[in-house]
Amino acid sequence: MKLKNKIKFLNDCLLVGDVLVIGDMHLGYEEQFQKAIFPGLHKKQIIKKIEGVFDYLEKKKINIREIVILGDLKHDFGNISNREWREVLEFLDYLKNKTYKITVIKGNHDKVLIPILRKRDIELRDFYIREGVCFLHGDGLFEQCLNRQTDVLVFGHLHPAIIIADKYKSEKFKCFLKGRWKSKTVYVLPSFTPVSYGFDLLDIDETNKNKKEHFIIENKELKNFEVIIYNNKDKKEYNFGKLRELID
Amino acid sequence: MQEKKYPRSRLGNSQEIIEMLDPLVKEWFFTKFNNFSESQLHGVINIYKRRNILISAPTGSGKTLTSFLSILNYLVSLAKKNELEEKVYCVYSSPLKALNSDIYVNLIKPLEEIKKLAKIKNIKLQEIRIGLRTGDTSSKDKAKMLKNPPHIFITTPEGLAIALTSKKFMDLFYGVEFVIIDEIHSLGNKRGVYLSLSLERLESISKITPVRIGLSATIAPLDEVANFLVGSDRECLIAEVKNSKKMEINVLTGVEDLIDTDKYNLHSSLYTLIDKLIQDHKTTVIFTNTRSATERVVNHLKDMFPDNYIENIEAHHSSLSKEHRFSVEERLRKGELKVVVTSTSLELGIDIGYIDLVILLGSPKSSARALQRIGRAGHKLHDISKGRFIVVDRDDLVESTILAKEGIERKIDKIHIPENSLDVLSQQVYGMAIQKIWDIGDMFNLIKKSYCYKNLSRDDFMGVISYLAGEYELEHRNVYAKIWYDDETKQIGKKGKLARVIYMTNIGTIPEESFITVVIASGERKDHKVGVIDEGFLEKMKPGDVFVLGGKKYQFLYTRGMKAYVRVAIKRNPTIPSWFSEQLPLSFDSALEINKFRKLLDEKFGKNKKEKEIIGFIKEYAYTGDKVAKAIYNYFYEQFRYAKIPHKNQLVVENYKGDKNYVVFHSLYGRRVNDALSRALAYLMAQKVGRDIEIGISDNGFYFAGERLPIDEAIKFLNEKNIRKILDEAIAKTEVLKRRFRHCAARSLMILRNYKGQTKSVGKQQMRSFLLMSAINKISKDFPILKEARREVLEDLMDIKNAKQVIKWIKNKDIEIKKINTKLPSPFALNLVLQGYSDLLKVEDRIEFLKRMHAAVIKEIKENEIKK
Repeated sequence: MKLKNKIKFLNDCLLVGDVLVIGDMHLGYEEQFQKAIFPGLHKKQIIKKIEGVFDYLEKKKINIREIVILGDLKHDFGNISNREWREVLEFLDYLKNKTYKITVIKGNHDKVLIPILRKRDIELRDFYIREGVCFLHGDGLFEQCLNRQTDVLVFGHLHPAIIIADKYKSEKFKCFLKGRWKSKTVYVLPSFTPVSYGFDLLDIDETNKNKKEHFIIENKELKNFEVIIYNNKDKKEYNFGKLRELID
Repeated sequence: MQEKKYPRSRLGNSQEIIEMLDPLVKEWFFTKFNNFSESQLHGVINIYKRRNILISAPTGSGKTLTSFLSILNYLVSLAKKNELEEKVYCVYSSPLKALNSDIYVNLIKPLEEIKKLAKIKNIKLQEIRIGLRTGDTSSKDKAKMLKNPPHIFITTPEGLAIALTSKKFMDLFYGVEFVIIDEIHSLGNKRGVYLSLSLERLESISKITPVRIGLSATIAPLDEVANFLVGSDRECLIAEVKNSKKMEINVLTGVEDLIDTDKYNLHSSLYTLIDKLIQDHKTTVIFTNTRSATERVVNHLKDMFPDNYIENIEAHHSSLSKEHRFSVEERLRKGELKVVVTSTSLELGIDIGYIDLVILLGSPKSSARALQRIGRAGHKLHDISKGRFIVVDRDDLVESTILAKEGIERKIDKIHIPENSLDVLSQQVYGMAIQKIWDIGDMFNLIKKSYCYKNLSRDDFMGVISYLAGEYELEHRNVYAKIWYDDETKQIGKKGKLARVIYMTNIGTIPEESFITVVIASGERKDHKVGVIDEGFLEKMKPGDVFVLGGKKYQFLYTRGMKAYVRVAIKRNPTIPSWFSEQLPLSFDSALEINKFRKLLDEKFGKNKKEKEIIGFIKEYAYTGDKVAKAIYNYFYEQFRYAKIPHKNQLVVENYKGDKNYVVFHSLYGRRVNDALSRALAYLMAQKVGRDIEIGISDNGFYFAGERLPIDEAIKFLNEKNIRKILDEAIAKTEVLKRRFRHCAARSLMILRNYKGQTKSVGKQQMRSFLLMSAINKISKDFPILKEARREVLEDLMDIKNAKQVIKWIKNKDIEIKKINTKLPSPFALNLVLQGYSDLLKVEDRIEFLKRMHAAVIKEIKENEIKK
């Protein structure tokens, strides 16, 4: 069976055969944007979340051969402190223990990631194709990604989330997007960071205009994508239909 | 509980005072004044005879000199005999630093004049020293004070507490003979609680029992305030100097019809009216209640009448810099300003010179406050105080009219003094432990003497001791033991070398807040300021959240420094309740007056009285003009014809289906009571149906919106006994409790704002307190500081006491609930519903909600497919 037929959602991650795909993690986010009151809190929360994923995989007896990180592993490398260095390394070591191979895709925030990854012998790639599935960040596109052998594109970068509301209540959820683009099946992963939900898709027309970091797929095409929320409690996916319908 | 009653003081005669005065002081007095004022006739002799006294008198009646005349006289007579000791004779405390500087100047001047007089007469006088200590006093001046102790020590409640903990200062307090508490009417809060304990501490240090003198503007109930002044088991006299100052109070509207005039005309005629009033007078002060409104009024006046307002208009509110405020006060005194617009900050007694008109833009929300504000006009006793209420909508019209009536009839609403505040107690116990080693029984007895702790239970007291002694095991949360308590010897003492420094640098009861400016992020109105929110409000927001500010909806995007960037979000429902509002709540007593008025009108309408007769009644009852009476008549007539007039004995509950399913309670009891009632009912309903309920609260009532609202069952279940428990549960997870907990944690020194020279930001304090609170919730729900935060929310922020009263009236049928159904909100409900919601009670789980919404979407998709 081809890999493209073995794609499953799993708590903000994507399982592609025996490859676990993780979206933007933004380690060190708190140091940049929130007042760093509890150093290491974000890392702890991320590890806790990822442990939940591995516990589930173990229970289901699924072995992960490879982990692909879809870019923006570290939030920013302005002035990286020793502690932050250590944190990223610890995190990578944790992942290495769980799998045979780690591949990191370069994100727009990963400007000086190479030295860290070298230390652990991990490659940093612009994109990565395995068995017809192409993994890339989403801020740019590469020719090879669109060649005939590729069936599926998997993106991060957008941090999709959606506000579901009725007259009395309104809640924000992280979500996946799934659709067709340039004759490929496309998945967009939510960010993995537990500290924020992400970018509200209902705002797509308003906000993208002012957003410097652009996403490779245009709004009018994204609107034809399906919005899927994965509920980690009952391990089920909830398909809310096309984004276009939700916006109108 | 029986309230303690105190005797009223007898009006003394001038001869008595003249005989008592030292010739020098007497001569000085009569070079300045012709005669004694009424408050002096009450106070001077009683203070001379060392009797505790509360003097309640209007501004400008010579209260300050009343309290000081006997004391100055005493000090001069000692100075003449060379008997003046090196000690503090008199402690004077006022809540305002500015007022302290005034008093300082007002004492120095008479003293110099007396000195001059003595010199002429060749009388030798020892030097009488006055010392001022506030947060601004330099360490050089403090050292000087210790070298040459002041005979009269002028300070703030915080300054007094610091002095009481400083060893060297305490030595000067061994024989304090007088204590003056000024502006006592502004101490119905934790600062007052704090001061009441400091007074007990001062009294325990001093070998002489000092006479307590309380000075107050018009206030009620006087007996309770007197009790607060002197504490338990002490005598006190009450001198009530009636306000003989003539007042001329009127209610005005900018337009004839407050409902059918469009917004633009309403606005422009309002400002035209204000401008005319200002131009017709020499100097005007406008009170607006809120800081944001203050800025708005200044800007509109400048925009609309650029020729009239250039250099002669200023704003004055607490968010402005100290320098700015001082300069505004100074220019007011010099008569350089035509108009000053203020929120509430000019209410207190600082001298602002000659004002001939006070405008109250929007209801002042209590009759005491109305009188206090209007009293700022014509500061001298025999001037006429001129006050104009200018109303902005129809509810405001009715409220202002009744407040004006109360003002004219000099009816005063009651002050609320918090009791058993465990956070303030913690701070003071720590201060006492630093002072010396105490026997626990002595300490408990001393605390119980304060009015605010007369009902303190031994358990609560021991809870505070346990917390301070570190028995709750919070050390790993960086809350260290501050005292030791030995159960064998029953002794208490301080712990740690830094105790005194920690105490001195973290003292006080006023919570730290800061404000964030809200700015439009992009588009046409880029960088346009839309208002301010407080930091606590910002802390709860995540990017993408929608909130209401000034009646408009905004979506929060990001912050930079002290600015929050937003975009206008017209379509979205708010995701954040606007719970934190700086609006003043309507006082319960004034609310009852309005309900009484409503009832009288309802009866007249019920009896089919003619329009002319009813308008005549309104004019006579509320001392209003034709225009106002007619506007009130129209408002009530519409409500009567369309729905039902709610009043004193009739609580109208209105069901109406608009875009949502609404139930409106016309319970005009002020926001504090409505807050308690509505939250208790909403919590009961939400528990039953498992869905979120939206709550909107105002002074005039509250509403619920939700899919299912079983109000009958909730009302039936709620009673005087269970409301506290229900509210305790209802507020357990709210932001407001978290925030109040932060304040209490800072007051009880669980969170140190200053430690080893470092200052913790409000944000960090909030984060710390959040973690502490979750840790404490696991240890004990009865942890004293958490208990105090709950008490503060229920008793100080909300008004559970009067909420119980309302429930009682409902249960014994003094109030009857009348249910009505309407197609559109009734006139009285309109403002409440338009104002939008205050809180959303969340009970439904996120995931349950997700599933429900998913089912709905699937259903819709299927239906659409079938149509196709």
